[in-house]
Amino acid sequence: MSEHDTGSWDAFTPRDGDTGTSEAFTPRDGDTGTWDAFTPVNRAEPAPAALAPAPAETRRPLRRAVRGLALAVAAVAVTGAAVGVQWQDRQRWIADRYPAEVVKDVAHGASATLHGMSWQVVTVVPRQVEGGGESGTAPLRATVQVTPVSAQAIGGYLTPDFAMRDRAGHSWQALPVDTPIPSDLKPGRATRFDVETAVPGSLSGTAELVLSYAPGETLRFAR
Amino acid sequence: MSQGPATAPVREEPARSPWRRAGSALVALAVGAAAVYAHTFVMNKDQLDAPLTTTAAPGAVAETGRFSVRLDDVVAASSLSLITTGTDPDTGGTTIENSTAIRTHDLFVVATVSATSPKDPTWLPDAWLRTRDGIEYAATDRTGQAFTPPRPVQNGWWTSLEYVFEVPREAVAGASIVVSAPSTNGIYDDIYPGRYDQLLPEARLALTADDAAARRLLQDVKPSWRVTARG
Repeated sequence: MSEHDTGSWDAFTPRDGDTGTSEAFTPRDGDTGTWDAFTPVNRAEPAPAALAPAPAETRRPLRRAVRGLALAVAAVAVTGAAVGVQWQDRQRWIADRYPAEVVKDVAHGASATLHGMSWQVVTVVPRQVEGGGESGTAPLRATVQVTPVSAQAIGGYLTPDFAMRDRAGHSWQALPVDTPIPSDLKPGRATRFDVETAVPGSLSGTAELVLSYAPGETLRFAR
Repeated sequence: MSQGPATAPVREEPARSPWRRAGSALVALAVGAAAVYAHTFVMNKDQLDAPLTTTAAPGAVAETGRFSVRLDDVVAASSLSLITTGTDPDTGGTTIENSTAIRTHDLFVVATVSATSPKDPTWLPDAWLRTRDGIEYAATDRTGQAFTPPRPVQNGWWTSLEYVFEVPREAVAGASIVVSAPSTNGIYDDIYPGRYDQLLPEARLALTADDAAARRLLQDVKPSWRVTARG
């Protein structure tokens, strides 16, 4: 008897002498479950498959956690991509509008050619200012020499912008005086003019003159 | 009696309850509504064009990203003597090239400020007197171009600038001097006026420390005040 058998089975318990083959208990052909209900459990039969393997109970929350994590990662990735595309587009817009400056350094006393003109800073010396100028400043005068390389370059000549700079990123106004016009220039002939400026007194010997037509067309003359 | 092959029972997903479905729909709706609402968080034109304002008391420094400025002196006058000076080529001394007087029925407020720049030369040609209730008076043009600050403020030293305003007396109490750097957007200003003038730095300097100081300023109105420009 199975351990599940209970007292209710006693009514069918064979008595002494009974072999259990009594016809009363022998299922006939065609008899089905009706009799199965009374068939004792055969312990030899394989045990029914275990209900849902134990790990399944823990796998389900694990699967949900993995799925949630994947969703979170995907959301972050999509958001990052959306922001990144806009950021990249904006960076391109800024780069187009504010191109990075390209500075060509010119050694002390040397010349450099830009737009068909050879440029050289001859001297940078202190200058006298009415009233002595602003307190703490050093008024300077730079003498600049320009030599047209060709007649063609003279036709498109424009006075460049000038400034004084230090290597820490500061700049100061520098104004050219009596600048030449194209009719003053001859191919191969040097023409000089002055650039007036003022820098902090502590930088009077180190600030450099910078000549520029555009951020990408800039010459910096070493002192 | 026969039994089929033993098969592992399949654990079926529990049916989602209508309440859970409704909850999910509600959450989705809320997220969508929040996304739509988030699109209302945009600035209007006035807000976009609003400057970045730094305030300072009289004598204190207002530091913006592009310049620093402080109010050194304020004078109220009922007339101005405009002097243009030059240099004598022979002696090198200072000469008076021109002298003009202008008068007003209201009040001239002459504000002297000092300014410097942290990096590049910065021009500060424009200033306003902003009253307590937000009315703005531009620096007067009656003085002429020669009296507009002609030089940039630069790194390393403080430059003195004078702004002249013509305002009614009642505008003085609680007023501020507002100094702003012009836009650096060049040609874009002409194509899209105002469109790129966003986040411009602005310094707001209190004209007087308090109303009592404003009253003292009004009690001390100069009959004539000399303003000098270099010719």
